[in-house]
Amino acid sequence: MEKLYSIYENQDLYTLKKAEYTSYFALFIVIYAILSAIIGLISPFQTEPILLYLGIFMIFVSLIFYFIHKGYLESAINMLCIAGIIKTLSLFHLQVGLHFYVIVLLIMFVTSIVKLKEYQIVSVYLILYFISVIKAFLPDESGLYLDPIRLVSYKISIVIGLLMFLVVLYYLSRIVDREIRKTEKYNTISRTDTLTGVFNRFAFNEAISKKGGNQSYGLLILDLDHFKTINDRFGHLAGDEVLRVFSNIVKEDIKTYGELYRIGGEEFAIIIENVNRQSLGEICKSLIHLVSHHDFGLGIQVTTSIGAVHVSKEKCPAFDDCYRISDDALYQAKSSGRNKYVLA
Amino acid sequence: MGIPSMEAFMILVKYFTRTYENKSYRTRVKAELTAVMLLFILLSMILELIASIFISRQNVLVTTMVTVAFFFVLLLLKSGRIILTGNLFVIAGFYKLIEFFPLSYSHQFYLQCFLGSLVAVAIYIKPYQLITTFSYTLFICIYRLIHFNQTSVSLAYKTEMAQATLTVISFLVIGLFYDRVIKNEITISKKTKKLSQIDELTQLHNRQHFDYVLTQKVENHDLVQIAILDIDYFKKINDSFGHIKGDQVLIKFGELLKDHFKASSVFRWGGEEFVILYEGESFGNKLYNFKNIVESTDFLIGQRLTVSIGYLESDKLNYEELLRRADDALFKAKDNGRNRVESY
Repeated sequence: MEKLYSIYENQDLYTLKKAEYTSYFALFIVIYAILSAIIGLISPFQTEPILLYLGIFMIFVSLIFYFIHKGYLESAINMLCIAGIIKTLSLFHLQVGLHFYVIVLLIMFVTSIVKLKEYQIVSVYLILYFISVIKAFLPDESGLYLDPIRLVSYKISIVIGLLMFLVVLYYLSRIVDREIRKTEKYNTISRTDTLTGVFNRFAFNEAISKKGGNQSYGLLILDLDHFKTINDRFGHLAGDEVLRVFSNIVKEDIKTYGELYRIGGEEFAIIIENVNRQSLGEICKSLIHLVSHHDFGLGIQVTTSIGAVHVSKEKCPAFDDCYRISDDALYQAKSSGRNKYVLA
Repeated sequence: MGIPSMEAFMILVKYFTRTYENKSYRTRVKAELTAVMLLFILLSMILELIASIFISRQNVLVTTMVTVAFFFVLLLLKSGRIILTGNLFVIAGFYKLIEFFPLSYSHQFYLQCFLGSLVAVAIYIKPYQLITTFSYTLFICIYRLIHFNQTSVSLAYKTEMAQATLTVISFLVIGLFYDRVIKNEITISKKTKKLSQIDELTQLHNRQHFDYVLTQKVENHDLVQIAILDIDYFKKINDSFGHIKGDQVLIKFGELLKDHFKASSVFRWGGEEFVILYEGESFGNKLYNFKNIVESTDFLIGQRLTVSIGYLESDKLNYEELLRRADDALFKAKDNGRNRVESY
C-alpha cells in the first residue's frame, strides 16, 4: 500500500496525505463492493446484472489505482467521484430506495476525506443532493407510507437530514485540510532561519541524518571574520543586516549546486552534492573572493573563513568526525590569518 | 443557499458558542459543530411542526414539545455544558433509532444511523460517547435486519435492507478511521507548531517566537520589560576551544536562564545573545542576581564566564525602538567594562 503512493513523497504534505487517504479508501471500496455483490448473489435475483456491475466496477478501480500509481492523483479522485455518482444513478430505479440513500451517504462521506480540490467536493455534494431530493419527491411506489404525515416527515428528513450531513462533513473536511496546511507551514518555519531566510540548524541536522554514511559530499563551515567587532562598532541591527546580505549573496552564488544553512550566530554551513575534492577547493576560493569584494555598506571589508572537508566513508565514518574535521580546518584558517579556506 | 443566509447562519452559530472562545481549539470546533447540528435539527423540527399543523393535528403537541426540548439543549450548549449536550445527543440518537424501528420508517432509520454516527464522530468529547453510539447503532441495525427477515416483506425489500446494513457497518468502520485522521492531524500540527518555536541547540524559544510575543505585547500596549544578554568574549571561547565546546556553553547558559526565569519568558535571539521578556517585580535585581550566578557557575572551560546585560521597561515604545534602546543599554554595559547590568 505504501509503495502505491510513495511517488508523492517529494511533493507537498497535503498531496501526500490525500494520496494516502485515497489509496486506503479505494481499497476499502473494493472490499465493500465485493461484500455487497455477495449479498446480491445470495438473494435469488438475476445474477447477470450483478456480475456485469462487478466487471465495470473492477475496471474503474484498476483505473483509479493506475492513476494513483502514475501520479495523477487529481484524476484518480475525479474517477472515484464519477464512479460513485454512476453507482448512485444505477440504484435510482430501485423501488424502496434504502440502498440508494445509504450509498449516497457513504459516497458523501468518502468524498469529504479524499477530496483534493474544492471543486470535487462541491460538485459531488451538489449532484448527489440534487438526485436525492428528486428521489424523495417522486411518488411513493413502495406503498410504505400509507399515513400522509409519515410521507411528509420522510421527505423533510431526507431534505434537511442530508443537508445537515453535508454541512457537517464539509466542516470536518475543512478542519482536516486546515490542520495539514498548518503542519506544512510550521514545518517550513521550523526549518527556516528567521533573520536570514536560509535553512537553520534544525534543517542542517535533518539533511545530515538523511544522508547516512555511504554518500560522499562536500561540507563547508563558514564563519564571518571579526563579526563581534562589527556588532560592537555598528550595533546589532547593522550586524543583522550584514548576516542577511551575506546569506543572500552566498545563497545566490551556490544555488545551482548546494544548500546554505545558518547553524550558529555568524556561522554557516554549505552542503554540496556530487563534488570532487578539487572543485570543492575552487568553490571555497570563489566564495571567499565573492564575500571580500562585496560592499556591505559599512565602509569596512567583511571577510569569511572557511573550513572545508570532502566527506566520504573512508575519511570520516560518523558525521560527528566530519564536523570536527571541518571545524578544525576552520580553526586553522582563522589562526593563519582569516579570509582564507582550509580544505581538510 | 445564498451567501448572505450562510453568513447569518454562521453568526447564529457564533452566538451560541461564544462561551467556548477561550477554550482549546478542539473544544471550540466541537462546540461549533454541535451548534450547527442543533440548529439544523431545530429547522427540521419546525418544518415538521408546520407540516403536522396542516396534515395531522394530533402530532402537533408532541412535535412542539420535542422542538422546545431541542431549544433547551441549545441553551444548555450556550451555557457551556458541552459534555452534557453530547450525552443528550447520544441518548436522543438512541431514542430516534428505536422510534424509527418499525418498517414504515425504514428511510429515516438508515438516515438516522448515518447521521447519528457522524454526529458522534464530529462532536464527541469523551470516548465513551463515541463507543456507545457506535455500538447501539451496530446492534439495532443488525437486529432490525434479522427481525424483519422473518416477516413477510418482499424479497427486494429484504435485499435492500441487507445492503443498507452492510453500508452502515462500513460507515462505522470508516467513521473510526476518519476520527483518527482528524485527531492525528490536530496533534501533528500542534507538535510542529511547538517545534517551530523552539531553538534547536538550547531548547529555548527562538527568535521567530520572540518576534511574535513582543509584537503582541506592543500591540496590546502591555508593560514590556525587556533585557538583552550577551555572553562576554564568547568569540574567544569558540576560537580557542572549538565550536562544539562553544555550543555546550550556550546550552548550559540556556539552562541557567530557564532555571532563573520562567521558561516561557526567555528566548535565544541569535548566536550568543539571549532576550528576556519579564513579567513581575524588581526586574533589575533579578538580572543582577543572574549575572552573579553566571559568574559563579563552572562552564567547564577552565575560565570564568561573564555576561553583559542591557534592559529597560516601557509600555509605549514600538518594536524597533524597544530593541534599539535595549541594544544601547547593552552597549553601555559592554563599554563600562562588561560583566554588568545597565538600564537605558
